[in-house]
Amino acid sequence: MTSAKPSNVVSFMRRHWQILVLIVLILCFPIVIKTYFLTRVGIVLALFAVNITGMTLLTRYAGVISLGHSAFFASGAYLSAILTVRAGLNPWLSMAIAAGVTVVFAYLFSVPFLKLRRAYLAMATLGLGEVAFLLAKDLTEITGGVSGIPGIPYLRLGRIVLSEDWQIFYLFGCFVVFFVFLTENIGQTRLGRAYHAIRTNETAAKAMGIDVQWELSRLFCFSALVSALAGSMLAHFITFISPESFTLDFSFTLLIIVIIGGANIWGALATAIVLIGFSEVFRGLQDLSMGFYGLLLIVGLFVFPEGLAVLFRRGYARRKISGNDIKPILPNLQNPMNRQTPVQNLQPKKGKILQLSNISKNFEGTEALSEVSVSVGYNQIMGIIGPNGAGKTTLLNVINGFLTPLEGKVIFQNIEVVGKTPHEMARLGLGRTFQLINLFKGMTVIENVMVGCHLKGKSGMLMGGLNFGRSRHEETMIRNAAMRSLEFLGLVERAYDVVENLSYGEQKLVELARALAMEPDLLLLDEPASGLNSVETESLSDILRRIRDRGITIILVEHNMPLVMSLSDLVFVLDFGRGIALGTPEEISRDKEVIRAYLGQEV
Amino acid sequence: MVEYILQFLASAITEGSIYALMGLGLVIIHRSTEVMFFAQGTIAMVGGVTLYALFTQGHIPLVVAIPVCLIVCVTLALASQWIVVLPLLDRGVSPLNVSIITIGAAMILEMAAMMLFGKDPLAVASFSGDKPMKIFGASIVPQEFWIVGSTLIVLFLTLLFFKRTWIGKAMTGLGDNPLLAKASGFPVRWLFTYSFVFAALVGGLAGTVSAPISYTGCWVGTRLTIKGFVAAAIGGINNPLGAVLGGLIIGFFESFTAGFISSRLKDLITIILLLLVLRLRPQGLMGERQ
Repeated sequence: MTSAKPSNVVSFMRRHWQILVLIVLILCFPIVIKTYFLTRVGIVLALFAVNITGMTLLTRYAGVISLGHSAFFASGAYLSAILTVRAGLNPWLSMAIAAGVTVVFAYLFSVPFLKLRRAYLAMATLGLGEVAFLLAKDLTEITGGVSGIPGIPYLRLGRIVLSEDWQIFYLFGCFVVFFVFLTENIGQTRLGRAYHAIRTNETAAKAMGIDVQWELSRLFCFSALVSALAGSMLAHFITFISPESFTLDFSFTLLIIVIIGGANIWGALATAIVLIGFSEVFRGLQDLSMGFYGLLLIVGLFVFPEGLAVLFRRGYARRKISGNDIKPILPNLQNPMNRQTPVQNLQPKKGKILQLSNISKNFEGTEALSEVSVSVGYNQIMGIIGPNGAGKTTLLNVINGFLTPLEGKVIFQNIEVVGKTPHEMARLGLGRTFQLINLFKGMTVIENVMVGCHLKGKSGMLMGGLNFGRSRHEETMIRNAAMRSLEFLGLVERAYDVVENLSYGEQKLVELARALAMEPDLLLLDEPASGLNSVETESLSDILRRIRDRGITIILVEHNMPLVMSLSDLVFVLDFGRGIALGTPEEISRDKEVIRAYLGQEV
Repeated sequence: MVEYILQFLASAITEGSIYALMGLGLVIIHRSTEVMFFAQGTIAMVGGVTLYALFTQGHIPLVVAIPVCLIVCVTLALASQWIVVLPLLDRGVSPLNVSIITIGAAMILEMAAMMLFGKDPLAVASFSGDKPMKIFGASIVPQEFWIVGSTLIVLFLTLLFFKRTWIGKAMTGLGDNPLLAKASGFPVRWLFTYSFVFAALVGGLAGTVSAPISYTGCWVGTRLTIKGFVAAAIGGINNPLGAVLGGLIIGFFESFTAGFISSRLKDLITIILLLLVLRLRPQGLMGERQ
């Protein structure tokens, strides 16, 4: 933040050289290309480029397939046309209104339908696209039916009417640069990681505090917004619109471009240039162009299953670790991970961090938990043990908000939390690891851990997309926090490895690092030692003690008895969904009831 | 009035049967692979245009022409399965993305059909004449009996197949729990193949028997696919009977909306029905909760 200006410019150029290349290309295009036809191809390409920015984030990052974005494209175009032609509004104003109204449509659609599983959602968007097309075709009184709306005015800047193709191209070029820049930044920062997390593991994403419904809804609205803007641009460019431009084929073409493009805007842009360029240049062979799309789609995905994006990926995956990434760790005393010495001198908080009373839970008639009551004090390690199927994981899921109990109360940090969602629990200070590894595949170790810091950031799509000032600072802070967490678990050397390439034991540690990065007050660990060898288990037990010494309460579900008995301050025993004993490890190991549960009827 | 209603009902059942067959094929494939096979309608279209070439142009008798059409459909379906679907699934591409990629296969087939047959609508002669029969005042062309009859036969065979044969039972298991099916040693790939063959037979049949009622041509594929999806989504994407029910429901709504309100609204009503079902019962009318 204190560095001199020139180096800022240099670092900006280094980070964003592609966007600079894009700007140069756009500036040169009308100067080099003088033919009427090719300039028009350029304009069409620009329209597609704007459209695919939102679609790339939606489809390739967040994994939501939309077969109906023609609806938003149509909505933008028609609203803009109707407002200017029929109501005589200023084109810019009508463009803004069209975009705003379309976003409202998109939001209203997203609220009920984004809850559906992805395949059903795809169906619903297909329906949406069809509805828009049919309305455009059949609401003749308003939309002009098949004959469309002619005579849409050009956009103007002051006195200049933007009717020349090169003027339109430059105007659209500005839109392209803006949205590409935004998309590129969103993709690489906090929200982009959240989308990736949602796509690869929704459960874990929720546990990290990501409000999946809201994030997807917001993203869906963003993609609808850019499509509407593109639609409105189209209307003011060709000055005539008809339903033909808004068929299912349009949605399919968009989808094909982003699928071949992959999770990176440059891949999608390259694909658009090849696909649209081809079909426009060989317009005479239009019949063949669909076949060409199809062929390219299949061949493209065979050669690059992840899309063309792999050719353009700079990100963390390729970058080697450098001193710079760990260096700026500023002492931050609020952060327990950062304290040099354990917090024994701090007065431990009195009272209970978590109180469960009379928790019952049924699964289709089977009683999974019945009247479980237990409470945990601050800064303790509580082990939960019990035979398989005793309800241990169910209990964690109830605390975490993944399950709602049939009856009973959960009080966490003096707040009644039954009915709260997992992301709300994360916000209240609850961290979690899973029995089976639930990492975000395809991301590096540090990116996985950075998702754990999701709640540390506040930047929305616009600020995150512009990526300067506070939101850049936020990124650095998140990266540092993630690094500290990795340091704490001795994983710094693996920070830039893709997470699937780590051993099982290391992956379990990454999951722990991710949970720690949330800086939770209470950490729920579901069988952290399962699948670890004895050396790894030994070091795990050391790590857990250090975590506790830093003021974090731990609830540990575990089958490894020596580990539980040596670590826990208190042990809680579940059997067939009932709590049968609670006490110190010594008391539990002598408890008759417990011995019976483990070893059979009579001893 | 009664004859109107009967007339609409007749066309509802005819159209609905075609949609039901399309939906049925899609459900069979989705059950086993979780892929929404976007080329299904295109394969049905290929059945129709092949029939045009053999029967109308080549004057080859139906008993020969229809089986040849079905063989062509099965070959193309298997080709798209072996070339596109399986290898991509093996490479870890998600079923949803593979679904989109099958749009590519559809486009290629459509382009091939366009190059061979042009863009114009092709008229296929009816199988047993065009003389309408009067039944309670409603006039019904013989081709409608072909369509409804073949749907009933297919349905009967489908039920028999799932209830009685080993492969059918295995395919049910595969749909319920693919991982377990694999682990218990089912030859999963062969089951994929069977489901594609089955879907191609059903789709090809739909394409051939429906060709004489409406025109056929390279462009009917997408429409058939979409109707099939809507049928499957309304009835339940994993339930064969649900798809048939869904198809009939769409046929019913379309026919009666067109008859009593306006033919402009018939597609819109169907789509609104789809959105309503997805909203209120996403697993479909006959689907089981996940």
